[in-house]
Amino acid sequence: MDGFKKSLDTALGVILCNIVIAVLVHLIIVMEFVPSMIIMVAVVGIILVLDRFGVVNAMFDAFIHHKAVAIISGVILLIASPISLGSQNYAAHITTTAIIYMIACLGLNFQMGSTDMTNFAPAAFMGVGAYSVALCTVKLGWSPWVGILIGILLSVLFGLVMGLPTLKTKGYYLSLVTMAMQLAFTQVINIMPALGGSNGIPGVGRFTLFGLELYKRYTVAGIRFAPQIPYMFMCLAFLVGLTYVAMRVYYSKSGLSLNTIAQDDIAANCMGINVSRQKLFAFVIGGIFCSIAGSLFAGLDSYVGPETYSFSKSLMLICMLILGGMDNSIGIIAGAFLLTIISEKLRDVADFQQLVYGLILVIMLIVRPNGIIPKRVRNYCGITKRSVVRPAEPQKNPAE
Amino acid sequence: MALLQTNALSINFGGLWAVDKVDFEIDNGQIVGLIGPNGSGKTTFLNIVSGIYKATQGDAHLAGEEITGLRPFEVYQKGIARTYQSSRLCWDLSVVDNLLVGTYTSQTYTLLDTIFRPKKVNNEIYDNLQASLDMLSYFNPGLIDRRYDLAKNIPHIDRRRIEITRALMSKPKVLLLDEPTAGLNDEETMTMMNDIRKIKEKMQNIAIIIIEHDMKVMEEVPERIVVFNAGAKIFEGVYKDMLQDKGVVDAYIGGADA
Ligand SMILES: Nc1ncnc2c1ncn2[C@@H]1O[C@H](COP(=O)(O)OP(=O)(O)OP(=O)(O)O)[C@@H](O)[C@H]1O
Ligand SMILES: [Mg+2]
Repeated sequence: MDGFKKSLDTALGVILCNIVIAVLVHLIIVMEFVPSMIIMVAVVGIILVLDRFGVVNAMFDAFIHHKAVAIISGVILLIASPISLGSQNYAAHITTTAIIYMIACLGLNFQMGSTDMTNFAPAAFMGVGAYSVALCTVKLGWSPWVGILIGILLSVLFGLVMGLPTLKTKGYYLSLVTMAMQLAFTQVINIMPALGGSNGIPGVGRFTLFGLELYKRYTVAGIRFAPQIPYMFMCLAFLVGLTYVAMRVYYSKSGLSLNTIAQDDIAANCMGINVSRQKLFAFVIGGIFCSIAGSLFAGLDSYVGPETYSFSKSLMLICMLILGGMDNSIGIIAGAFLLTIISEKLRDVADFQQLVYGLILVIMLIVRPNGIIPKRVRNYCGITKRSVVRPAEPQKNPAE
Repeated sequence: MALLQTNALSINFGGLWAVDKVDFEIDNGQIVGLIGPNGSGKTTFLNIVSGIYKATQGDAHLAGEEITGLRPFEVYQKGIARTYQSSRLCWDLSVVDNLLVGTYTSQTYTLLDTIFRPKKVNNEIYDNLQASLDMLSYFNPGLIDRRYDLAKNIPHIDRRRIEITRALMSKPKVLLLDEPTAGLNDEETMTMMNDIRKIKEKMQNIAIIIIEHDMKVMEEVPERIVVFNAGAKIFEGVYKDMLQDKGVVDAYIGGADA
């Protein structure tokens, strides 16, 4: 096992890791329901077993040591992945959906994962972004890009409105407040004809970039690509950018202060952390992430409706976070991916969806309460690249 | 005016004066010991000074500036840091992270810097990381090797040291230590006593208020002693005089009876 870990910790090992992950992801996406589920369960099982031997940690360390190689090979694979789906409409659709949920989960993590404030309203935040795009394009005839920006502004407001009452409450009470907000959001949409009521708003404008339509069937080099492929590229770009933001915040004093508040808010307060402000920050930045995800979702479906952004969607996002692992961007992305694939492939038997979520949650909470890839100890040598220990000092264990 | 000064500082918990008209002062570079029977209001006094509780009456000033009514994080930013009777480390964070929290106010970058100027931010984190590990190794060099261990896996005395280091990272003017030797055996208590002296060597101007039940520590470390009983200050002076003071002796015998 040690030899294996050593060979992981090389540039080649990192590239191979990336390739293996990419191939597995591709198989899970394109396979039929049953083989796809088998691969998925096998992969999760293998991850859990490897983690017993510390291989998952070794992988993270390897990626940190060979950051440049990991990023370059990762980007190449990311660019290749939409192309590899070719003309498969359905696969392209669920992958894009998964990417959007990943963004929403990264947002939800600021509250749930980092600060330990269970937020039952991430879908409402998504709805803010989605309805902004829908109203801008359908009612006002503006570009969906304006919709995204307005969505961001509104989600900041919504985050503040939601954050303020939660400053005075903690634990269950806080969760109840967010739950009430989520239900109120759905109700407001349902009773306001201007917002489309319970029928929703169809015909939401698609995104374009410099005149290039992003949701359209293009034929390149003889392949008729699925119409979602260009849109998928755009969503991937958002995902990469926002993951970067999430990771930077995680390693900064803000991320650390959120963790401190989660552990002990009095101690945090007594160490110069403005607890109220940081809690609001968690709601606002998480809300922005979710709102962007919602805007992208509206562009993918070309439709918004209250059911898409209801309480059960919030539960799904929470499930993704618990499944993947809190406060670890990679775990969150994995959780969002796995659950999206499961639920999308279960479309035909939609009645079972809720049951499956419930089952997954129960199994996870028993087998592995911290998620598939749980939170790790912050490793600062990845961002500082230098050893923090002064060389002059006696060192028993110079592992860095 | 003294560095930290309280005038008739009082707090009432549902009819009980847990701290009762306490006049207290401490100057740069002093160490003052605070003792008293259980429940005499020592911890509550520190809690008021650090802003956790709001004083019912009276006021507190730090370097001439009023700090009564400020919120805890504002008091901290003015220069009062503390440790707690029962440790308040973040158990599920590493030693390094626990120390870095102590540098929260000294890290000056903004959120936009975090995203758009990673070099600057990383350098600042690096400097603070190194400063905190330097400070920690000043108390126990062996802890450097365990910097990525979770705080909950660290032995008791070292947790105390981490907590003290964390408090010192902001270069406070006043350090409040609430029973730093609670739960330590005799030998460890001696080590801790040395550590407190080391703080003084490193930061000559720092003022330290230390709550302590251990009489040996009280005899050797502080230059002045303040005794609380039932929320009120009943004695102030040097250790030798305290032993002779009738009020103090009565309070302790009375406390033992109760
Ligand atoms: N938040 C509170 N609400 C009500 N009463 C309180 C509160 N905090 C402290 N008290 C009361 O104030 C009194 C003083 O308590 P405090 O903890 O300050 O004592 P102490 O001198 O630190 O004692 P010890 O040596 O046991 O630590 C006690 O009677 C306690 O019950
Ligand atoms: Mg006490």
